[in-house]
Amino acid sequence: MTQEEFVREVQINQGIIQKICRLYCQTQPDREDLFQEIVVQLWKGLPKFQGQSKFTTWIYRVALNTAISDFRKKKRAIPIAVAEVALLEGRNESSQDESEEQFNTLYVAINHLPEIDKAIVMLYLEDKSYEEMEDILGINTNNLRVKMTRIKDKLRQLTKSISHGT
Amino acid sequence: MKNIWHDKSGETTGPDKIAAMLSRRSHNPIEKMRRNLRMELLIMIVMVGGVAIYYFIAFKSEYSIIGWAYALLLVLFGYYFFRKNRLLREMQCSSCRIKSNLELQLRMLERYVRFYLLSGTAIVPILFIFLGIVLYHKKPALISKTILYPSSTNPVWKFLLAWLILLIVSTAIIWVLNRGYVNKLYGRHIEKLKQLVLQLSE
Repeated sequence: MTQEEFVREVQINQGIIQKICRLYCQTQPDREDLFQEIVVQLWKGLPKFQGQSKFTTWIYRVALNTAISDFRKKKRAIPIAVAEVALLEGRNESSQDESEEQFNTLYVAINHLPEIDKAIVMLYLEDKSYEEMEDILGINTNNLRVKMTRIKDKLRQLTKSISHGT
Repeated sequence: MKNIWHDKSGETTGPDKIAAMLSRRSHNPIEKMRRNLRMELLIMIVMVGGVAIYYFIAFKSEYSIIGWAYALLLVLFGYYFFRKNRLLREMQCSSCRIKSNLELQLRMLERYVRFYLLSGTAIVPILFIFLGIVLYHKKPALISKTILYPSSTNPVWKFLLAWLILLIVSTAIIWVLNRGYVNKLYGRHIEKLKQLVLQLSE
């Protein structure tokens, strides 16, 4: 794959990377840093990609591996509570529609989950099958189903309490 | 939840910006450690190698034994850097499954820390032997009349015992200091990795 082709592929699939950055970083500068780091890791890992799995599966693996094991000090570490107040207050100031509100609430709720649960819920929301999730995460399908049930319960409680402002 | 997720389109980054990212350096901590290691190696080669060459050439090669000692030190450092670099290189597999990558990172980081601690402590006896060779040949006035140098008034056993005690005490102190330092550097990383692996296995 040439550099041009690679850039095109990244551009097509950048939604995956953007969502991962948004899930794992609280601030815009951190998101941009992580996005860049993921692109660099994808480019460096490209020669090793042998096409045994789907290209998107490989992107998920590299992006999640980079995001989860990124132990750098964040540029501006904002506590979750402060970040979510900013996110949720934003909806009142502007005339954003209901779906935007729901989307922000969902993000805030997912932000409360542990790193691995964030990855699981993201893949679930991206409509990945349990087999694909197993291929990305390395957790067997049965365990994933159990985990997903627990996460859904947790998310339901979280979104409820966030919506009610508790 | 899925409807809300799919309804929202994210930000976009243009192809020029993506292409520009490819030429930038990685900020990954492991990549940074490898870059620092290469720099350390370069500094060691220049400094220790330079001193070794100096002793080989200067003083009409009278002190070439010191030059050899420095050369041996350089070989040991070479092995140390090679081993550390290999551990760092094997520490991550970004395209592997998340679970196996994290388990690999944890395993390799623990091995790296063990090697760091062992080599950091082993350097003390090596430096003592090295210092012994240098002092024996240079016979500096500062220690030639002390217990640290063999003479007619200071039998060999006393001299050896003094060095041995000094070596054991220094090694023990360095080991304790090293352990604290290594824990400070990597302790949190290891704990975090253990937590992540546990989350995946639960």
